[in-house]
Amino acid sequence: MNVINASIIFLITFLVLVSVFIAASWFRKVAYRLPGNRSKLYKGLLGGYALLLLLAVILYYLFQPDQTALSRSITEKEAEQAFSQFFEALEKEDLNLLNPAYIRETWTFETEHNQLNLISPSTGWSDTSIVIAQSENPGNAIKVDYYITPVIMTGFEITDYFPNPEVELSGDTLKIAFAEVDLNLANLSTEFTIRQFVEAPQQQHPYFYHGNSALIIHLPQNLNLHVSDKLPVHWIRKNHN
Amino acid sequence: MSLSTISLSKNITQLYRYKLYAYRNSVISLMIIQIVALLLSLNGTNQSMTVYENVSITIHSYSANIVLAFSMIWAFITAISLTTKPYRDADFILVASRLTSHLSNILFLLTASMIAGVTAMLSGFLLKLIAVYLLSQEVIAQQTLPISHLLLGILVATLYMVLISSAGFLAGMLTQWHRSFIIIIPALVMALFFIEWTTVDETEQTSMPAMIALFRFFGTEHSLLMFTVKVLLCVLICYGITHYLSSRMEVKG
Repeated sequence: MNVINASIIFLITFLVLVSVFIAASWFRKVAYRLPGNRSKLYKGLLGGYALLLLLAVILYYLFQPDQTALSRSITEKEAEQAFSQFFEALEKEDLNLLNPAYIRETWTFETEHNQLNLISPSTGWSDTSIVIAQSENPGNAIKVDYYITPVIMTGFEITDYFPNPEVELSGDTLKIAFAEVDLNLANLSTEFTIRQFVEAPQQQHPYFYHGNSALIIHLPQNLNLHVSDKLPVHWIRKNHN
Repeated sequence: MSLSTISLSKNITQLYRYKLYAYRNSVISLMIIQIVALLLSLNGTNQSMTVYENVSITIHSYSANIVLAFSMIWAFITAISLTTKPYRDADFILVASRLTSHLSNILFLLTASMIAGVTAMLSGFLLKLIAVYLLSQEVIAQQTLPISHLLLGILVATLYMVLISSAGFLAGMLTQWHRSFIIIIPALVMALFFIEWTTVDETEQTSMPAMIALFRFFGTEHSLLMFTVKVLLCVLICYGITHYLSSRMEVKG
């Protein structure tokens, strides 16, 4: 961190602290200006607040919020391994190197055409790689696998929140589309006054791991593929089933 | 000349009860500050966001940390206000000496710290319920909080409040003792961010700003006993200096 960044962070922290300090002093003054003969009002306000807090504790323990079940619990090392495995498979043109556990969805289509057009109506940028694996055997079946490795965000595996792409064969056109999703998730964490004594220091390291995803399209030998210009594809012509 | 004598403990109790009644508005201000902190926490005490594919994911962390921080500032200001002349003079409406006034102030600050610590910790549950049931956010993770952990949190929060209020009481008394401290104290606090502090542990030598080292002295202590000892020692030093200063200040005529 350079000196300018450090100074800016310090200045912002200082300004925030000064603002909170001034606001707190102002609230104190406002509270002291309240009429002194309204003890019932004070008691009502304070009692109501205390009751609300106690009620919140009781309700929280009675109706504990359900945690979204995370299907897998993965370490940073496993996530890293899965990530590098994918690129190794592309580099060596060997799909057998991929972990089949990460294939989340498979679509199979039959076609009578000799040519296949691959299009994506999605306008936004997609991080999903499109991998074309052309078989040395003839046939009329097109198989599409959606492969996604674990995505870890601040220590939580969020892979399951990613929706599957839409894959559809219409005549001689294979359409792929990615849904737009805006997700807001809550992490109900403990306060620092508890974390300081309860959590082990190594658990306090939240790591981030961007996974990788791919649509692997398995084509028979006799099918010619035409890909829209905006879709970057990786070809794999050997070592695959 | 008064013919009746009053015991020290009775005098302190009377002054303490008087302060609880007279300064009850300060609890209202605590409530307002905590509600403001809760409102500011509605978007999460911290957030992390990622955009991958066409998916945008934001994780909002909910805890009472902002409420705790605001309550600490409140404890600091409340302690400073007790050292101002109108508050000090108000003690002499009743029979009071410097010692009894000082001890009743400490008792009041301990009570205020306890109220702030308990309410700040409990407000975390309210915040989490609002996030889940009113803001309808899906919960990615939650740590089930046993009652023992909740009690631990309340105790530690109260100890932090006691520490901050004693520091505020000392800062307030120093400025009352000599006006130059109005400049010296903020300057000292700012200087602590720039003064390098070097710590040497078993494996390595690390340098950090003195203010960070001060935070780490309390914040990275994982033994509750050691933490309590550290806080109590600092509190004793602060109140000791405050008492020494107040006894050297001019006597109310």
